[in-house]
Amino acid sequence: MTFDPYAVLGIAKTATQNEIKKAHRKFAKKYHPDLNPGNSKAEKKFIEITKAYELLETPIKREKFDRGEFEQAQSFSSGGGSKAPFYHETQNGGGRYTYSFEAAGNDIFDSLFTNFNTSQTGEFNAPGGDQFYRMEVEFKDTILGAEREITFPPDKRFKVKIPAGIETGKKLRFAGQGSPGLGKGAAGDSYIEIQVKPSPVFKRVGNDLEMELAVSLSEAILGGTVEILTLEKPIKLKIPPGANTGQRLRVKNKGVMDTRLKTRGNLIVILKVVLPPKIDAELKEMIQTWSQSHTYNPREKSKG
Amino acid sequence: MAKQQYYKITEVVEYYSINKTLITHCIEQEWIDPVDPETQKLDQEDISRINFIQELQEHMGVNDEAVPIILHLVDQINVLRLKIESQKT
Repeated sequence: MTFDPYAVLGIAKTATQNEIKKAHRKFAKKYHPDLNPGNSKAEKKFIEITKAYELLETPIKREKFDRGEFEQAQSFSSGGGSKAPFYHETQNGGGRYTYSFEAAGNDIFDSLFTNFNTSQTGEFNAPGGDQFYRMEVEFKDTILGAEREITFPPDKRFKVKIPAGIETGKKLRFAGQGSPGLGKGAAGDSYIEIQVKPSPVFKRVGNDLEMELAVSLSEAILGGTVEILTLEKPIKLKIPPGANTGQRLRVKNKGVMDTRLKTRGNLIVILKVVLPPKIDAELKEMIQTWSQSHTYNPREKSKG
Repeated sequence: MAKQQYYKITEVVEYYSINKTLITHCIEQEWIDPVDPETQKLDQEDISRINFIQELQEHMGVNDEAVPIILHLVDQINVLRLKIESQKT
């Protein structure tokens, strides 16, 4: 069946360009998928009217069509570039823009009726939208807390206090720093979502920090004192004689600051006994002699 | 999960045939909030939102004053749809 753009737009073949434009505008307002999210019939109709309009939107295109040089419209976009999904499709399952309404903690049903109002003079008031940003923060700063300067677009500068103990996904709120409201509507808020930059040394477990520490065979057997990193300055740690891989040594109050409880977690140092890179003849002979009279089964505990 | 694609403004102009002036206007007016505000890189949400704004202005005769009102209402509709869908499940 031949596609008749005139019939689709509900206009006569003698319609002027202005009438074509008006007809398209009327249907676009009615059927645009972002104004009818989830309505597949509207979407189908919108694609049809857009296709029709693309065939008739300029006198040259229209003449071509009228002469029978039918060209399929390539997409709903007149630009001919790649087709982006409709906006509402990007918000299915909760996009950033949709999320901005919920993140403020407002009840959407309430906000529909209370946040918008038309004043007696007919002025339309609506609150401004919230703005969302992400900020990567150094591991140390999230454990001990820090102060940083940030710039909200276009050039609003703020000092941000990063609270000690903050975790990835937590948001800092800046009241009134979002989009401006309409009319007398209040400005929205700005939120900064924290992303903690992982540390190559430390791992956070609750309010404790864990780190692995390699110790030599002699340190493990005889014990000793080694220097270890903490988030502040290095400290000396005593390795007890007979230390083993997996053994956990606790350094008090070198973990995560808990500002609410005003306490600090611990640093847990997990030992890993590392053999020398090359086992020389002396060590081999010594172990051979030793093992002849000191047999032990390290897998005994793991027996089912 | 598919890797999140971020596009420079020049790439959006090239791939999606969206006018650069419109993109910068949308950012200046705070109608869109680039996914990466520092480098002004855009994601699919930003691009589709700009496309929608383009449709509103070019094909529906919506002026600058009305755009944020429509966006605000459309965003609220999307929240309501999600809420209703979550009630069903």
